[in-house]
Amino acid sequence: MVRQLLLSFLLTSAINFAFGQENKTDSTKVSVTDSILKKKYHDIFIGVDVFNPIVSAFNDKKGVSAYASYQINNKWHAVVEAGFEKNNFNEINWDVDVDGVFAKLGANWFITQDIENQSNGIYIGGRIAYSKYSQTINSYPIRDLQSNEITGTGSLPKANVSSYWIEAVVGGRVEIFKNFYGELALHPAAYIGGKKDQGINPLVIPGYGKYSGPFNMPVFWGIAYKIK
Amino acid sequence: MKNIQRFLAYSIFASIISLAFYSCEDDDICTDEGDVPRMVADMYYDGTNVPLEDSIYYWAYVYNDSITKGIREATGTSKDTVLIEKNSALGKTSFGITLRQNSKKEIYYTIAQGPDIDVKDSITGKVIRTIPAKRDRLILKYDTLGNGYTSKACGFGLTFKGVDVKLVTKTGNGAGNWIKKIETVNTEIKDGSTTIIKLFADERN
Repeated sequence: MVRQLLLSFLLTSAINFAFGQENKTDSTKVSVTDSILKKKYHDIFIGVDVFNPIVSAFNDKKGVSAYASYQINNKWHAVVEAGFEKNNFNEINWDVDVDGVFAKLGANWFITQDIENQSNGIYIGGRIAYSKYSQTINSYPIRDLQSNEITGTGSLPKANVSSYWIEAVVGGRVEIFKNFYGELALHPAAYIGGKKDQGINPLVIPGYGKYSGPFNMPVFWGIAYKIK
Repeated sequence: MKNIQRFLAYSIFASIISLAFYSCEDDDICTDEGDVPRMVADMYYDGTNVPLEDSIYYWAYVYNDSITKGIREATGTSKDTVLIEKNSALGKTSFGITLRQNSKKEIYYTIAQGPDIDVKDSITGKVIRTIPAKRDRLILKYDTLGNGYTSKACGFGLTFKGVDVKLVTKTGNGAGNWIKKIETVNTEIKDGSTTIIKLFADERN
């Protein structure tokens, strides 16, 4: 509950901050550029995550992800994301390896855009996400629940499992060079369910991250290219 | 350059939000009481499937030398055993008693139908005698220990396999002081909610 409140507060603050900044500009220009906003584009973007490959140099998480988006109208963009990831969970006496692919489908809605380049802006959105992966439990703790003491360990062979979850999205995109954009998006995610091995709740999921409760926060920080 | 600055500003802002989010870790301490294995008994009126509601007082023991860890408490009932739980279930049709792994693979239960009643002197108010509640003894034996997934924080919890419970107050399978018959309905104790025995008795007078 504390996490949800904190997240809500921070995200609301971020959006307010962004609105506050952009509205100052819009309020001075909107009356003279109204006709520009009505122009319809169907921009296509492809983007590659650079944050996770960099971070993978310092942790167990290895993988890449990319996305493609299609502008439906002035504000709405349909988005497809895909990637693969290897990861390890080695905490509280568990040692779990996962390796698999994930895909996300959803849309972004721009809450504010630049007048001169409407591809720049801040957006919110949503995704449904699915991951199919192998899970190897190298070690799990066996606990005497009466005394709350760990009495041994066990292991389980590789198993094919899957997970699905939903994500909200808050992100921003800015053109850095011609047709190349820097893009950053937070994806607060909520695990829904999936196929488990022996009823064991997932401890780490490709594309979702380590499971430390019902919510998580994947991050996309990368470069996008406007094809059209 | 201006756009790069804006992008960096967004990035820093988002990073702060992410760090704040990740700093809130879930509690990873195993505290799930509901998954602790217990010998759960459901009570019925003798000869029926009608649940019997009563107040039950119970004690659980293991052999003194059969455990090396955990809480020990002097009991006074036998120098050979140690009490591992003393508790009651008031106005219930079901109760669950603890068990613990031990080298002898046996747990001994004393189960009383209702509380002991103190008879007091009408003038002085002192207890002049105590009428003990009817008691019966059960012995639970298990063959092996297993384990089953409990939770992320707890891992896999120990389970007790090949469970057999006998009424031993009187010889053989005859009726005890208040328990008329028991029936083992599950031979593996995995949690604190699955019924292990059905206990048939008469209503308390």
